[in-house]
This record gives sequence, C-alpha cells and structure tokens, in this order.
Amino acid sequence: MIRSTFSAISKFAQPTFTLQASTTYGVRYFGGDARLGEKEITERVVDVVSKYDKVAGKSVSPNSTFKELGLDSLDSADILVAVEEEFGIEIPDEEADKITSCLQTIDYIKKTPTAK
Amino acid sequence: MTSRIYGIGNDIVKVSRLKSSFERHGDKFLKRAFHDDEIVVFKQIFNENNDRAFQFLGGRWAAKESIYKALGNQERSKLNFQNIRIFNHTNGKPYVDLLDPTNQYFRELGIDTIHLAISHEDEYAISNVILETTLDKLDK
Repeated sequence: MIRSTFSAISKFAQPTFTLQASTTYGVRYFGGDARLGEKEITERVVDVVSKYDKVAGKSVSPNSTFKELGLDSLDSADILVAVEEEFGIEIPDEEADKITSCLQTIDYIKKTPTAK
Repeated sequence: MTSRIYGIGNDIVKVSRLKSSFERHGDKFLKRAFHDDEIVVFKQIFNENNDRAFQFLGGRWAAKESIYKALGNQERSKLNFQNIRIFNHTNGKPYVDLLDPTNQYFRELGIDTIHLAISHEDEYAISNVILETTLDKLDK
C-alpha cells in the first residue's frame, strides 16, 4: 500500500488530450490513398533527426537508433515533438515511449493516416 | 512490517537542455513529460524568475528519470512521466504522487514507498531515488 503521503493529495484534473479529428463529411475517396509514401516519410524523419543539434555532423540513416546517435531520453522527447510538428500529428505517450529509433518513428508515421 | 530496498536510481541533467526544448516546442514539449499541475507551477515560477523555472523543470525531469532507473529493466512505456507528479511539501521536501495507471503498476511491482531527493547547482539538476518494498510482497 502506497503510504498516505502519496495518496493524501488533493485531486487534480487529469491532463486532457484532444484527438485530431478531421471532418470529412461529404468527402468521398474512390480508391485514392491520401497516406504519405514510405519514401517521403523516411526522408522527412531522417531530416528531422539530422537537424537536431546534438546530431550535427553525424550520419543519420533510417536504421539509426537514437542511442547510436548519442541521444538520451530527453533528446528523444524533443525529437518526437519535432516529428509531431513535422507531420501534424500527436503521438500518444505510451506509443512515444516505445520509439527508440528512426525506423520505429517511420513505422509509426506509416500507420498514422492523419500524418500530413 | 519488514521492508527492503527495491531499487535505487539517480539522474543528472543540464538545465539548459530543458530551456532549449521549451523554446523550440513550448507546451507541446512540456506536456510530453510533465503533468498539467507541474506545468502550472513552472509557469508561475517562469513569470518571476526564468532561470529558476528551468531548474524546477530540470529537477522534475531528473526525478522522473531516477524513478525509471530505480525500477530496473522495466518498459518505459508503462511509466508515463505525466503520471509521475513531483510536488513539494510546505517545508520544501519533494515527494512523488503517482496517478493511475502508473500508480497501479507500482502496486503490482510491490513498491510501497518512493524516497526522493532533488538538488540544483546553477546549470545542473540532480535527483536520487530509493524505492522501498515489503519483503512478504516480493517473496510471494
């Protein structure tokens, strides 16, 4: 049982997150796929990571892990926010915490239809 | 009841890194790692003393990382830093307040108490954590 010092806290509101919902009423797609291509996603992810100041001068490939690039958890948090801004998405925390490489970032974007 | 140490963890962070990430990404960065209540306190301090505000953030980040390290080889995604709230008692001593599902996760691990210390020196913030558990829970 967690000590009372941990539970005897006033109840604060949980953080709220709004999902980005695109309103597509009246719009129909006939076989067209608006998702970004893998090549474009890969190039843009590698570009975002390459632009991070601690990565300057290092060679970044789609297979690079953040650890190989000398990045720690705080760097990862910063880079993933930059990725969110680049693609206009919001990566849930539990997903973001699993991403530790360029490839995992690319895979997440690939399965995110709202990525722009 | 007999208790023993579950794990220890520490972390050090350069305060300017928090400032730099905040300047690049603003609230989006803050919400990645901090609870709304921590962000409110940060902004109150920020309005009075910019440097002190980033020391505050650095201390919080180091504390959360210390807790993660003290857990050992656990999945980071099970923690969710936003659910690990670091507050201060009126005498200044920091303490941890966990929100579910992180709180539930700690209960499942048998962790009863989190001991926490935070310190700052100009450009750096450090934290030390000891996680405490009861013997009978671990022996099950």
